[in-house]
Amino acid sequence: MSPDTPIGGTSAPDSPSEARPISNARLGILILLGAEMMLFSGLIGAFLVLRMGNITWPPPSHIDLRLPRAVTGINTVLLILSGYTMFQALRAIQKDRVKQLRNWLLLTGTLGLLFLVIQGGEWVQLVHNGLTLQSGVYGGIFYVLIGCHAVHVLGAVIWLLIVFGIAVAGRFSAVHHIGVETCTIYWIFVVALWPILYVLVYLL
Amino acid sequence: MIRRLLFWILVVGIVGLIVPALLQACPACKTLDEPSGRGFNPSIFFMMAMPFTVFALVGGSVFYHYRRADRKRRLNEKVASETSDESYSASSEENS
Repeated sequence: MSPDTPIGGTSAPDSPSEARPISNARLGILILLGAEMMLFSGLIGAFLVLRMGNITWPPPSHIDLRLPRAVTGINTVLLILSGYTMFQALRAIQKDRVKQLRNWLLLTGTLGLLFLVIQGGEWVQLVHNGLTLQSGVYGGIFYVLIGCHAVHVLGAVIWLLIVFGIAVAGRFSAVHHIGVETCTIYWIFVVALWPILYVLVYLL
Repeated sequence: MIRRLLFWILVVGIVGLIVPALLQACPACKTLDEPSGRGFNPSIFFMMAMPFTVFALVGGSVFYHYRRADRKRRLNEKVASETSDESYSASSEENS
């Protein structure tokens, strides 16, 4: 592949792929998100069974344990903000503003990493307080559900860094930016999922 | 064949009406009064709704893109035909 080749499958406007109503990359990301939704619905379903099935929540074994709601609330705001900055990155490249795209991507990545760092700090605190994966159903479902989301955020940050690298190389334009678009769709999915998990796990 | 099938459906229906506990195949239904049963119920409804939600979202998105592309194509065709009409009338005026 030559250095000038557009990344992410977008080709010249008169090529057959451009004539398709929906590009392969966009269709692929939609199918991936469908699978991701089913994965998280399975985990949320398991959480509901345990949450509604227990008369007291947290269960008696962790009755004194309090999840850090306030810090996680701030973390939620940070992640939602990163969704906004990612959307702005897409808007910037649609207007062919490559420098703005780089800045917005960098800001989004920083917010994503900050989210992970704060969450990691919370986890360390919780483990010190005795909440581990083996400490019972409460710890098990907490770490599996929140951890699964954290892995997705980490994956999205890595993807974002790759997109940022391509943006620095100047290989995105107003016409060729399917890489930014698919990354934005995935990022917004990860961001939109978090408030649901926050309300379910931390507030209910 | 159909009469035999209908006969067996009728038999199962009658047995079900007489002994309804036999039809409670799902273990969660038998424990609805217990806390674990109460936990299963919302989870079942939630997970039952998810495939439809996913299908609606993905299908709706694909449908939206198709509609948008179709609208764009029609608009392009309309503009192209109007442009060709104008150039044709301009050239015929020049000729006359």
